Amino acid sequence: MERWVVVTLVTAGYLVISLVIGWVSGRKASDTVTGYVAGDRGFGLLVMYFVTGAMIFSAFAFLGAPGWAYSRGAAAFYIFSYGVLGFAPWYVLGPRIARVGRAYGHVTQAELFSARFQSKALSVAIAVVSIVAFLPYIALQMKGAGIVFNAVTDGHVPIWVGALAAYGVVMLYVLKSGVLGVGWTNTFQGIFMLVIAWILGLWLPYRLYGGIGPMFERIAELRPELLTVPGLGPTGEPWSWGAYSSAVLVSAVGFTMWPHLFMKAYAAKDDDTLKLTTLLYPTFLIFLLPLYFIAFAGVLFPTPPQSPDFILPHMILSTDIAPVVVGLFCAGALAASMSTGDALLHATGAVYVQDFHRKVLQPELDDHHRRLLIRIAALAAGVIAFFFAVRTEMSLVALLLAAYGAVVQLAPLAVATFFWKRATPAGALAGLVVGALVTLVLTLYPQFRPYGIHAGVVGLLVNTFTLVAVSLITRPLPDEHVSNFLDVSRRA
Amino acid sequence: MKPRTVATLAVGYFLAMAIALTYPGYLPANRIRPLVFGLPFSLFWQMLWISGSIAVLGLVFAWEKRRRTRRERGERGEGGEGGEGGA
Repeated sequence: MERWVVVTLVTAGYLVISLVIGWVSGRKASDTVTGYVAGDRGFGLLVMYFVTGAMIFSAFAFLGAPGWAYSRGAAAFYIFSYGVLGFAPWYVLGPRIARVGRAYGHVTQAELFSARFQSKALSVAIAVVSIVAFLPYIALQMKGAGIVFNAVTDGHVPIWVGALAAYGVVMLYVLKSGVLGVGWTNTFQGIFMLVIAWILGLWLPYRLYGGIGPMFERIAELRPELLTVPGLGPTGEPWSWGAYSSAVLVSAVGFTMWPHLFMKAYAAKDDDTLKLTTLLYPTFLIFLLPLYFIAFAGVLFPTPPQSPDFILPHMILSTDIAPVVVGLFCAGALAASMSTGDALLHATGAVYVQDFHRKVLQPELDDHHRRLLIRIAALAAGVIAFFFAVRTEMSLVALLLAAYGAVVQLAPLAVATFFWKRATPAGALAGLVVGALVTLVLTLYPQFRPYGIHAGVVGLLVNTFTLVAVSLITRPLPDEHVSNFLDVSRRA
Repeated sequence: MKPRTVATLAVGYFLAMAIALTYPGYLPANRIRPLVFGLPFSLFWQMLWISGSIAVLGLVFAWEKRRRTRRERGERGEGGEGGEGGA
Protein backbone atom coordinates (compact mmCIF):
# COMPACT_ATOMS: atom_id res chain seq x y z
CA MET A 1 0.00 0.00 0.00
CA GLU A 2 1.21 3.50 -0.76
CA ARG A 3 2.27 5.63 2.16
CA TRP A 4 -0.46 8.23 1.78
CA VAL A 5 -3.16 5.56 1.84
CA VAL A 6 -1.84 4.11 5.10
CA VAL A 7 -1.57 7.62 6.59
CA THR A 8 -5.14 8.42 5.57
CA LEU A 9 -6.46 5.16 7.02
CA VAL A 10 -4.71 5.66 10.36
CA THR A 11 -5.96 9.25 10.56
CA ALA A 12 -9.47 8.16 9.65
CA GLY A 13 -9.31 5.59 12.45
CA TYR A 14 -8.37 8.33 14.90
CA LEU A 15 -11.26 10.50 13.66
CA VAL A 16 -13.74 7.67 14.14
CA ILE A 17 -12.57 7.07 17.71
CA SER A 18 -12.85 10.82 18.47
CA LEU A 19 -16.35 10.89 17.06
CA VAL A 20 -17.50 7.88 19.07
CA ILE A 21 -16.06 9.26 22.33
CA GLY A 22 -17.52 12.70 21.67
CA TRP A 23 -20.91 11.35 20.67
CA VAL A 24 -21.30 8.97 23.62
CA SER A 25 -19.97 11.29 26.33
CA GLY A 26 -22.87 13.75 26.14
CA ARG A 27 -25.46 11.25 27.36
CA LYS A 28 -25.07 12.19 30.99
CA ALA A 29 -25.62 15.94 30.56
CA SER A 30 -28.92 17.40 31.70
CA ASP A 31 -31.14 19.03 29.08
CA THR A 32 -30.31 22.58 30.17
CA VAL A 33 -28.04 25.41 29.09
CA THR A 34 -25.89 24.65 32.15
CA GLY A 35 -25.66 21.02 31.04
CA TYR A 36 -24.74 21.89 27.48
CA VAL A 37 -22.36 24.78 28.18
CA ALA A 38 -20.94 24.02 31.65
CA GLY A 39 -21.35 20.24 31.89
CA ASP A 40 -23.63 20.67 34.93
CA ARG A 41 -20.53 21.98 36.78
CA GLY A 42 -19.29 18.42 37.28
CA PHE A 43 -15.87 18.10 35.60
CA GLY A 44 -13.31 16.17 37.63
CA LEU A 45 -9.55 16.60 37.64
CA LEU A 46 -8.71 14.35 34.67
CA VAL A 47 -11.01 16.09 32.22
CA MET A 48 -10.24 19.57 33.58
CA TYR A 49 -6.53 18.89 33.21
CA PHE A 50 -6.79 18.03 29.53
CA VAL A 51 -9.40 20.67 28.71
CA THR A 52 -7.04 23.29 30.14
CA GLY A 53 -3.97 21.78 28.52
CA ALA A 54 -5.66 22.03 25.14
CA MET A 55 -5.33 25.82 25.53
CA ILE A 56 -1.63 25.63 24.67
CA PHE A 57 -1.64 22.39 22.71
CA SER A 58 -3.34 23.80 19.64
CA ALA A 59 -2.35 23.52 15.99
CA PHE A 60 0.21 26.18 16.94
CA ALA A 61 2.07 23.62 19.07
CA PHE A 62 2.62 21.38 16.03
CA LEU A 63 3.23 24.11 13.42
CA GLY A 64 3.89 27.65 14.64
CA ALA A 65 5.92 27.00 17.78
CA PRO A 66 8.28 24.43 16.21
CA GLY A 67 8.54 26.81 13.24
CA TRP A 68 9.79 29.49 15.63
CA ALA A 69 12.23 27.12 17.32
CA TYR A 70 13.56 26.04 13.92
CA SER A 71 13.97 29.49 12.39
CA ARG A 72 14.39 31.74 15.44
CA GLY A 73 15.88 29.38 18.02
CA ALA A 74 15.59 30.43 21.65
CA ALA A 75 13.09 33.17 20.77
CA ALA A 76 10.58 30.31 20.94
CA PHE A 77 11.38 29.79 24.64
CA TYR A 78 9.09 32.71 25.44
CA ILE A 79 6.13 30.35 25.12
CA PHE A 80 7.32 28.34 28.14
CA SER A 81 7.65 31.46 30.26
CA TYR A 82 4.37 33.14 29.45
CA GLY A 83 2.47 29.88 29.73
CA VAL A 84 3.53 29.37 33.33
CA LEU A 85 3.52 33.02 34.43
CA GLY A 86 0.22 33.67 32.71
CA PHE A 87 -1.57 30.74 34.21
CA ALA A 88 -0.53 31.11 37.85
CA PRO A 89 -3.12 33.85 38.64
CA TRP A 90 -5.78 31.29 37.76
CA TYR A 91 -5.13 29.74 41.17
CA VAL A 92 -6.79 32.83 42.66
CA LEU A 93 -9.13 33.84 39.84
CA GLY A 94 -10.46 30.42 38.80
CA PRO A 95 -12.17 29.46 42.06
CA ARG A 96 -13.63 32.96 42.45
CA ILE A 97 -15.11 32.83 38.95
CA ALA A 98 -16.52 29.37 39.65
CA ARG A 99 -18.11 30.40 42.98
CA VAL A 100 -19.85 33.39 41.44
CA GLY A 101 -20.91 31.21 38.52
CA ARG A 102 -22.47 28.64 40.82
CA ALA A 103 -24.30 31.29 42.85
CA TYR A 104 -25.67 33.28 39.90
CA GLY A 105 -25.95 30.49 37.32
CA HIS A 106 -23.33 31.89 34.91
CA VAL A 107 -21.95 29.96 31.97
CA THR A 108 -19.97 32.65 30.09
CA GLN A 109 -17.32 35.25 30.87
CA ALA A 110 -19.42 38.31 30.02
CA GLU A 111 -22.17 37.12 32.37
CA LEU A 112 -19.69 37.37 35.22
CA PHE A 113 -18.54 40.90 34.38
CA SER A 114 -22.01 42.19 33.61
CA ALA A 115 -23.31 40.75 36.90
CA ARG A 116 -20.65 42.61 38.82
CA PHE A 117 -21.13 45.87 36.89
CA GLN A 118 -24.84 45.56 36.05
CA SER A 119 -24.10 46.62 32.51
CA LYS A 120 -25.67 45.34 29.31
CA ALA A 121 -23.28 47.41 27.19
CA LEU A 122 -20.32 45.67 28.79
CA SER A 123 -21.81 42.28 27.99
CA VAL A 124 -22.33 43.21 24.36
CA ALA A 125 -18.84 44.70 24.04
CA ILE A 126 -17.22 41.55 25.44
CA ALA A 127 -19.39 39.33 23.23
CA VAL A 128 -18.31 41.24 20.12
CA VAL A 129 -14.61 41.16 21.06
CA SER A 130 -14.81 37.44 21.88
CA ILE A 131 -16.47 36.44 18.64
CA VAL A 132 -14.12 38.59 16.56
CA ALA A 133 -11.22 36.82 18.30
CA PHE A 134 -12.75 33.33 18.07
CA LEU A 135 -13.54 33.18 14.36
CA PRO A 136 -10.01 33.68 12.99
CA TYR A 137 -8.68 31.47 15.80
CA ILE A 138 -11.01 28.63 14.75
CA ALA A 139 -10.15 29.23 11.10
CA LEU A 140 -6.43 28.92 11.92
CA GLN A 141 -7.04 25.61 13.70
CA MET A 142 -8.99 24.31 10.69
CA LYS A 143 -6.32 25.47 8.30
CA GLY A 144 -3.64 23.84 10.47
CA ALA A 145 -5.47 20.51 10.40
CA GLY A 146 -5.91 20.71 6.63
CA ILE A 147 -2.28 21.67 6.03
CA VAL A 148 -0.83 18.82 8.08
CA PHE A 149 -3.14 16.26 6.51
CA ASN A 150 -2.24 17.58 3.08
CA ALA A 151 1.51 17.53 3.76
CA VAL A 152 1.75 14.01 5.14
CA THR A 153 -0.34 12.52 2.34
CA ASP A 154 2.00 14.11 -0.22
CA GLY A 155 -0.80 16.38 -1.40
CA HIS A 156 -3.30 13.60 -2.07
CA VAL A 157 -5.77 14.93 0.47
CA PRO A 158 -6.57 18.57 -0.44
CA ILE A 159 -6.44 21.10 2.41
CA TRP A 160 -10.19 21.69 2.36
CA VAL A 161 -10.95 17.97 2.54
CA GLY A 162 -8.65 17.48 5.56
CA ALA A 163 -10.11 20.49 7.34
CA LEU A 164 -13.64 19.36 6.54
CA ALA A 165 -13.05 15.80 7.76
CA ALA A 166 -11.52 16.94 11.06
CA TYR A 167 -14.04 19.68 11.72
CA GLY A 168 -17.02 17.70 10.46
CA VAL A 169 -16.24 15.31 13.32
CA VAL A 170 -15.78 18.21 15.75
CA MET A 171 -19.06 19.80 14.68
CA LEU A 172 -20.95 16.54 15.18
CA TYR A 173 -19.76 15.94 18.72
CA VAL A 174 -20.01 19.59 19.74
CA LEU A 175 -23.62 19.77 18.52
CA LYS A 176 -24.55 16.46 20.08
CA SER A 177 -22.73 16.54 23.39
CA GLY A 178 -21.74 20.14 24.13
CA VAL A 179 -18.97 20.66 26.63
CA LEU A 180 -18.99 17.02 27.73
CA GLY A 181 -18.07 16.04 24.19
CA VAL A 182 -15.33 18.68 24.24
CA GLY A 183 -14.07 17.45 27.61
CA TRP A 184 -13.85 13.74 26.93
CA THR A 185 -12.49 14.06 23.40
CA ASN A 186 -9.87 16.50 24.72
CA THR A 187 -8.84 13.88 27.24
CA PHE A 188 -8.44 11.24 24.56
CA GLN A 189 -6.80 13.66 22.11
CA GLY A 190 -4.49 14.98 24.83
CA ILE A 191 -3.17 11.58 25.88
CA PHE A 192 -2.85 10.51 22.26
CA MET A 193 -0.84 13.52 21.09
CA LEU A 194 1.44 13.53 24.14
CA VAL A 195 2.39 9.89 23.56
CA ILE A 196 3.08 10.52 19.87
CA ALA A 197 5.00 13.73 20.55
CA TRP A 198 7.32 12.10 23.10
CA ILE A 199 7.99 9.01 21.05
CA LEU A 200 8.88 11.01 17.95
CA GLY A 201 10.60 13.79 19.88
CA LEU A 202 13.02 11.39 21.54
CA TRP A 203 13.42 9.01 18.61
CA LEU A 204 14.23 11.53 15.86
CA PRO A 205 17.19 13.24 17.60
CA TYR A 206 18.42 9.79 18.58
CA ARG A 207 18.16 8.53 15.01
CA LEU A 208 19.84 11.60 13.49
CA TYR A 209 22.40 12.61 16.15
CA GLY A 210 22.54 9.78 18.68
CA GLY A 211 20.56 11.62 21.37
CA ILE A 212 19.29 14.97 22.68
CA GLY A 213 22.64 16.00 24.18
CA PRO A 214 24.71 15.21 21.07
CA MET A 215 22.15 17.07 18.96
CA PHE A 216 22.47 20.26 21.03
CA GLU A 217 26.28 19.84 21.08
CA ARG A 218 26.27 19.88 17.28
CA ILE A 219 23.97 22.92 17.13
CA ALA A 220 26.16 24.67 19.72
CA GLU A 221 29.12 24.16 17.39
CA LEU A 222 27.48 25.25 14.16
CA ARG A 223 24.57 27.57 15.07
CA PRO A 224 25.22 28.74 18.66
CA GLU A 225 23.11 31.88 18.14
CA LEU A 226 19.99 29.67 18.21
CA LEU A 227 20.56 28.40 21.73
CA THR A 228 20.68 31.58 23.80
CA VAL A 229 17.81 33.96 24.52
CA PRO A 230 16.45 36.18 22.96
CA GLY A 231 17.29 34.18 19.82
CA LEU A 232 16.61 35.60 16.38
CA GLY A 233 14.00 38.03 15.05
CA PRO A 234 11.54 37.35 12.23
CA THR A 235 14.11 38.05 9.53
CA GLY A 236 17.03 36.22 11.10
CA GLU A 237 18.70 39.21 12.79
CA PRO A 238 19.36 38.95 16.55
CA TRP A 239 16.13 39.67 18.46
CA SER A 240 16.07 42.37 21.13
CA TRP A 241 15.67 41.74 24.85
CA GLY A 242 12.96 44.41 24.98
CA ALA A 243 10.85 42.65 22.36
CA TYR A 244 11.44 39.25 23.98
CA SER A 245 10.62 40.41 27.51
CA SER A 246 7.53 42.38 26.57
CA ALA A 247 6.27 39.45 24.47
CA VAL A 248 6.52 37.27 27.60
CA LEU A 249 4.76 39.77 29.82
CA VAL A 250 1.91 40.79 27.50
CA SER A 251 1.14 37.21 26.56
CA ALA A 252 1.20 36.26 30.25
CA VAL A 253 -1.24 39.01 31.24
CA GLY A 254 -3.70 38.08 28.49
CA PHE A 255 -3.40 34.32 28.75
CA THR A 256 -6.08 33.67 31.35
CA MET A 257 -8.45 36.23 29.85
CA TRP A 258 -9.63 33.99 27.03
CA PRO A 259 -13.41 33.76 27.28
CA HIS A 260 -13.45 30.01 26.65
CA LEU A 261 -11.09 29.47 29.58
CA PHE A 262 -13.46 31.32 31.93
CA MET A 263 -16.20 29.03 30.70
CA LYS A 264 -14.19 25.99 31.74
CA ALA A 265 -13.94 27.36 35.29
CA TYR A 266 -17.72 27.00 35.48
CA ALA A 267 -17.46 23.38 34.40
CA ALA A 268 -15.18 22.35 37.30
CA LYS A 269 -16.65 20.21 40.04
CA ASP A 270 -15.21 22.24 42.93
CA ASP A 271 -12.49 24.66 44.03
CA ASP A 272 -9.91 21.96 44.68
CA THR A 273 -10.29 20.60 41.16
CA LEU A 274 -9.59 24.06 39.74
CA LYS A 275 -6.60 24.61 42.00
CA LEU A 276 -5.08 21.24 41.19
CA THR A 277 -5.63 21.88 37.49
CA THR A 278 -3.79 25.17 37.84
CA LEU A 279 -0.83 23.74 39.68
CA LEU A 280 -0.52 20.82 37.25
CA TYR A 281 -0.93 23.01 34.19
CA PRO A 282 2.82 23.78 33.70
CA THR A 283 3.40 20.08 32.98
CA PHE A 284 1.87 20.80 29.57
CA LEU A 285 4.66 23.25 28.84
CA ILE A 286 7.21 20.58 29.68
CA PHE A 287 5.28 18.34 27.28
CA LEU A 288 5.99 20.86 24.50
CA LEU A 289 9.69 19.96 24.71
CA PRO A 290 9.65 16.97 22.32
CA LEU A 291 8.08 19.13 19.61
CA TYR A 292 10.95 21.58 20.06
CA PHE A 293 13.41 18.69 19.86
CA ILE A 294 12.05 17.70 16.45
CA ALA A 295 12.32 21.32 15.31
CA PHE A 296 15.93 21.61 16.54
CA ALA A 297 16.71 18.29 14.86
CA GLY A 298 15.77 20.06 11.63
CA VAL A 299 18.27 22.90 12.08
CA LEU A 300 21.23 20.96 10.73
CA PHE A 301 19.17 18.78 8.41
CA PRO A 302 20.37 19.03 4.79
CA THR A 303 17.01 19.98 3.26
CA PRO A 304 14.90 22.89 4.53
CA PRO A 305 11.08 22.77 4.71
CA GLN A 306 9.06 24.92 2.28
CA SER A 307 8.35 27.26 5.20
CA PRO A 308 9.48 27.13 8.86
CA ASP A 309 5.94 26.21 9.98
CA PHE A 310 6.32 22.94 8.09
CA ILE A 311 9.37 21.79 9.98
CA LEU A 312 7.58 18.98 11.86
CA PRO A 313 5.85 17.35 8.89
CA HIS A 314 9.05 17.89 6.91
CA MET A 315 11.18 16.04 9.46
CA ILE A 316 8.65 13.23 9.82
CA LEU A 317 8.51 12.70 6.06
CA SER A 318 12.26 13.05 5.47
CA THR A 319 13.31 10.24 7.80
CA ASP A 320 12.60 6.57 7.23
CA ILE A 321 9.60 6.36 9.53
CA ALA A 322 7.00 3.62 9.02
CA PRO A 323 3.86 4.95 7.26
CA VAL A 324 1.72 3.90 10.23
CA VAL A 325 3.75 6.20 12.50
CA VAL A 326 3.43 9.06 10.00
CA GLY A 327 -0.31 8.47 10.20
CA LEU A 328 -0.18 8.58 13.99
CA PHE A 329 1.75 11.85 13.79
CA CYS A 330 -0.89 13.31 11.49
CA ALA A 331 -3.61 12.16 13.89
CA GLY A 332 -1.67 13.74 16.78
CA ALA A 333 -1.47 17.07 14.98
CA LEU A 334 -5.18 16.88 14.18
CA ALA A 335 -5.86 16.08 17.83
CA ALA A 336 -4.02 19.24 18.87
CA SER A 337 -6.00 21.33 16.41
CA MET A 338 -9.35 19.75 17.21
CA SER A 339 -8.99 19.87 20.99
CA THR A 340 -8.61 23.64 20.74
CA GLY A 341 -11.07 24.22 17.92
CA ASP A 342 -13.93 22.32 19.54
CA ALA A 343 -13.84 24.43 22.70
CA LEU A 344 -13.77 27.60 20.59
CA LEU A 345 -16.73 26.59 18.44
CA HIS A 346 -18.72 25.62 21.47
CA ALA A 347 -17.81 28.89 23.21
CA THR A 348 -18.74 30.99 20.17
CA GLY A 349 -22.25 29.56 20.19
CA ALA A 350 -22.69 30.10 23.91
CA VAL A 351 -21.26 33.64 23.92
CA TYR A 352 -23.41 34.70 20.98
CA VAL A 353 -26.62 33.52 22.62
CA GLN A 354 -25.97 34.30 26.29
CA ASP A 355 -24.20 37.62 25.94
CA PHE A 356 -25.51 39.09 22.72
CA HIS A 357 -28.70 37.55 21.38
CA ARG A 358 -30.41 37.26 24.74
CA LYS A 359 -29.31 40.72 25.86
CA VAL A 360 -30.17 42.62 22.70
CA LEU A 361 -32.58 40.69 20.50
CA GLN A 362 -34.74 38.30 22.56
CA PRO A 363 -34.51 38.84 26.33
CA GLU A 364 -37.33 36.38 27.10
CA LEU A 365 -35.81 33.33 25.44
CA ASP A 366 -36.41 30.12 27.43
CA ASP A 367 -33.79 27.49 28.21
CA HIS A 368 -34.87 25.09 25.48
CA HIS A 369 -34.71 27.70 22.73
CA ARG A 370 -31.40 29.03 23.98
CA ARG A 371 -29.87 25.56 23.69
CA LEU A 372 -31.20 25.24 20.18
CA LEU A 373 -29.88 28.67 19.27
CA ILE A 374 -26.45 27.94 20.78
CA ARG A 375 -26.16 24.90 18.52
CA ILE A 376 -27.23 26.90 15.48
CA ALA A 377 -24.73 29.65 16.33
CA ALA A 378 -21.93 27.11 16.81
CA LEU A 379 -22.73 25.56 13.45
CA ALA A 380 -22.81 28.99 11.81
CA ALA A 381 -19.44 29.82 13.40
CA GLY A 382 -18.04 26.58 12.00
CA VAL A 383 -19.28 27.38 8.50
CA ILE A 384 -17.93 30.96 8.57
CA ALA A 385 -14.56 29.87 9.97
CA PHE A 386 -14.32 27.09 7.38
CA PHE A 387 -14.92 29.63 4.65
CA PHE A 388 -12.17 31.85 6.11
CA ALA A 389 -9.86 28.86 6.38
CA VAL A 390 -10.13 27.55 2.83
CA ARG A 391 -11.32 30.42 0.67
CA THR A 392 -9.68 33.64 1.73
CA GLU A 393 -6.08 34.61 1.53
CA MET A 394 -6.71 37.19 4.23
CA SER A 395 -4.11 37.21 6.93
CA LEU A 396 -5.82 35.34 9.73
CA VAL A 397 -2.84 35.76 11.99
CA ALA A 398 -3.12 39.54 11.78
CA LEU A 399 -6.82 39.40 12.57
CA LEU A 400 -6.21 37.04 15.48
CA LEU A 401 -3.43 39.21 16.89
CA ALA A 402 -5.65 42.30 16.68
CA ALA A 403 -8.48 40.50 18.46
CA TYR A 404 -6.16 38.93 21.01
CA GLY A 405 -4.90 42.45 21.74
CA ALA A 406 -8.48 43.28 22.74
CA VAL A 407 -8.84 40.09 24.83
CA VAL A 408 -5.73 41.04 26.80
CA GLN A 409 -7.47 44.29 27.66
CA LEU A 410 -9.97 42.36 29.80
CA ALA A 411 -7.26 41.85 32.43
CA PRO A 412 -7.66 45.13 34.40
CA LEU A 413 -11.42 44.56 34.34
CA ALA A 414 -11.00 41.05 35.77
CA VAL A 415 -8.83 42.32 38.60
CA ALA A 416 -11.22 45.19 39.37
CA THR A 417 -14.16 42.77 39.36
CA PHE A 418 -12.79 40.85 42.32
CA PHE A 419 -10.39 43.20 44.05
CA TRP A 420 -11.55 46.81 43.65
CA LYS A 421 -14.91 47.68 45.14
CA ARG A 422 -14.97 51.22 43.86
CA ALA A 423 -14.82 50.23 40.15
CA THR A 424 -17.96 51.45 38.34
CA PRO A 425 -19.73 50.29 35.16
CA ALA A 426 -18.65 53.41 33.26
CA GLY A 427 -15.05 52.93 34.36
CA ALA A 428 -15.07 49.26 33.36
CA LEU A 429 -16.49 49.93 29.92
CA ALA A 430 -14.33 53.00 29.27
CA GLY A 431 -11.14 51.18 30.27
CA LEU A 432 -11.90 48.22 28.03
CA VAL A 433 -12.86 50.30 24.99
CA VAL A 434 -9.99 52.82 25.29
CA GLY A 435 -7.43 50.08 25.99
CA ALA A 436 -8.59 48.03 23.02
CA LEU A 437 -8.57 51.05 20.68
CA VAL A 438 -5.09 52.19 21.76
CA THR A 439 -3.77 48.66 21.24
CA LEU A 440 -5.40 48.43 17.83
CA VAL A 441 -4.03 51.79 16.65
CA LEU A 442 -0.50 51.01 17.88
CA THR A 443 -0.64 47.56 16.27
CA LEU A 444 -1.57 49.10 12.94
CA TYR A 445 0.81 52.08 13.25
CA PRO A 446 3.92 50.84 15.09
CA GLN A 447 5.71 54.16 14.50
CA PHE A 448 3.58 55.78 17.24
CA ARG A 449 4.70 53.34 19.95
CA PRO A 450 6.62 55.14 22.67
CA TYR A 451 10.17 53.67 22.85
CA GLY A 452 9.03 50.73 20.71
CA ILE A 453 7.11 49.24 23.65
CA HIS A 454 4.63 46.48 22.82
CA ALA A 455 1.24 47.87 21.76
CA GLY A 456 -0.53 45.73 24.35
CA VAL A 457 1.55 47.12 27.21
CA VAL A 458 0.65 50.70 26.28
CA GLY A 459 -2.98 49.63 25.94
CA LEU A 460 -2.93 48.03 29.40
CA LEU A 461 -1.47 51.15 31.01
CA VAL A 462 -4.00 53.47 29.36
CA ASN A 463 -6.77 50.98 30.12
CA THR A 464 -5.93 50.77 33.82
CA PHE A 465 -5.60 54.53 34.12
CA THR A 466 -8.95 55.10 32.38
CA LEU A 467 -10.69 52.44 34.49
CA VAL A 468 -9.48 54.06 37.70
CA ALA A 469 -10.05 57.67 36.65
CA VAL A 470 -13.54 57.17 35.23
CA SER A 471 -14.56 55.00 38.19
CA LEU A 472 -13.51 57.69 40.63
CA ILE A 473 -15.54 60.43 38.94
CA THR A 474 -18.67 58.34 38.38
CA ARG A 475 -21.15 57.23 40.99
CA PRO A 476 -20.38 53.86 42.60
CA LEU A 477 -22.82 50.95 42.44
CA PRO A 478 -24.95 50.33 45.55
CA ASP A 479 -22.60 49.06 48.22
CA GLU A 480 -24.94 46.19 49.05
CA HIS A 481 -24.73 44.74 45.54
CA VAL A 482 -20.95 44.91 45.33
CA SER A 483 -20.46 43.52 48.85
CA ASN A 484 -22.79 40.63 48.09
CA PHE A 485 -20.93 39.83 44.89
CA LEU A 486 -17.54 39.91 46.60
CA ASP A 487 -18.78 37.79 49.52
CA VAL A 488 -19.97 35.13 47.11
CA SER A 489 -16.62 35.16 45.28
CA ARG A 490 -14.71 34.62 48.53
CA ARG A 491 -16.88 32.03 50.17
CA ALA A 492 -15.10 28.73 49.77
CA MET B 1 2.51 30.16 58.79
CA LYS B 2 0.09 33.02 58.44
CA PRO B 3 -2.02 33.21 55.28
CA ARG B 4 -0.41 36.50 54.36
CA THR B 5 3.08 35.02 54.60
CA VAL B 6 2.13 32.12 52.35
CA ALA B 7 0.55 34.47 49.83
CA THR B 8 3.60 36.74 49.85
CA LEU B 9 5.99 33.83 49.35
CA ALA B 10 3.95 32.45 46.45
CA VAL B 11 3.58 35.82 44.74
CA GLY B 12 7.27 36.44 45.41
CA TYR B 13 8.20 33.25 43.58
CA PHE B 14 6.28 34.25 40.47
CA LEU B 15 7.69 37.78 40.49
CA ALA B 16 11.19 36.35 40.80
CA MET B 17 10.34 34.00 37.95
CA ALA B 18 9.16 36.89 35.76
CA ILE B 19 12.51 38.59 36.30
CA ALA B 20 14.58 35.42 35.95
CA LEU B 21 13.02 34.62 32.59
CA THR B 22 13.22 38.10 31.06
CA TYR B 23 15.79 40.90 30.97
CA PRO B 24 18.00 41.22 33.01
CA GLY B 25 17.38 38.19 35.25
CA TYR B 26 17.98 35.76 32.41
CA LEU B 27 21.51 37.00 31.69
CA PRO B 28 23.47 34.87 34.20
CA ALA B 29 21.70 31.70 32.99
CA ASN B 30 21.72 32.58 29.33
CA ARG B 31 24.44 30.19 28.18
CA ILE B 32 24.68 26.96 26.27
CA ARG B 33 27.00 25.02 28.58
CA PRO B 34 26.87 23.07 30.76
CA LEU B 35 24.24 20.95 29.06
CA VAL B 36 21.87 19.54 31.69
CA PHE B 37 19.92 16.39 30.79
CA GLY B 38 21.12 17.09 27.27
CA LEU B 39 19.46 20.53 27.22
CA PRO B 40 21.34 23.80 26.71
CA PHE B 41 21.55 25.59 30.05
CA SER B 42 19.25 28.39 28.78
CA LEU B 43 16.51 25.84 28.11
CA PHE B 44 17.15 23.91 31.31
CA TRP B 45 16.69 27.23 33.16
CA GLN B 46 13.13 27.42 31.78
CA MET B 47 12.39 23.86 32.87
CA LEU B 48 13.79 24.57 36.32
CA TRP B 49 11.45 27.52 36.91
CA ILE B 50 8.50 25.63 35.45
CA SER B 51 9.10 22.72 37.83
CA GLY B 52 9.52 25.19 40.69
CA SER B 53 6.13 26.74 39.96
CA ILE B 54 4.48 23.33 40.25
CA ALA B 55 6.24 22.78 43.58
CA VAL B 56 5.28 26.23 44.94
CA LEU B 57 1.59 25.97 44.08
CA GLY B 58 1.65 22.36 45.30
CA LEU B 59 2.92 23.52 48.68
CA VAL B 60 0.32 26.29 48.85
CA PHE B 61 -2.37 23.74 48.06
CA ALA B 62 -1.14 21.30 50.70
CA TRP B 63 -0.92 24.14 53.25
CA GLU B 64 -4.49 25.24 52.52
CA LYS B 65 -5.72 21.71 52.84
CA ARG B 66 -4.03 21.14 56.18
CA ARG B 67 -5.36 24.43 57.46
CA ARG B 68 -8.88 23.50 56.44
CA THR B 69 -8.79 20.10 58.16
CA ARG B 70 -7.42 21.70 61.31
CA ARG B 71 -10.24 24.18 61.28
CA GLU B 72 -12.80 21.49 60.76
CA ARG B 73 -11.46 19.79 63.86
CA GLY B 74 -12.52 22.89 65.72
CA GLU B 75 -9.19 24.49 66.33
CA ARG B 76 -9.07 28.24 65.92
CA GLY B 77 -7.64 29.39 62.58
CA GLU B 78 -5.78 32.61 62.14
CA GLY B 79 -8.63 34.49 60.51
CA GLY B 80 -9.06 35.64 56.94
CA GLU B 81 -9.45 33.23 54.08
CA GLY B 82 -5.88 33.68 52.96
CA GLY B 83 -3.26 31.63 51.25
CA GLU B 84 -4.70 32.10 47.83
CA GLY B 85 -2.12 34.49 46.55
CA GLY B 86 -1.93 38.24 46.46
CA ALA B 87 -5.50 39.34 47.00
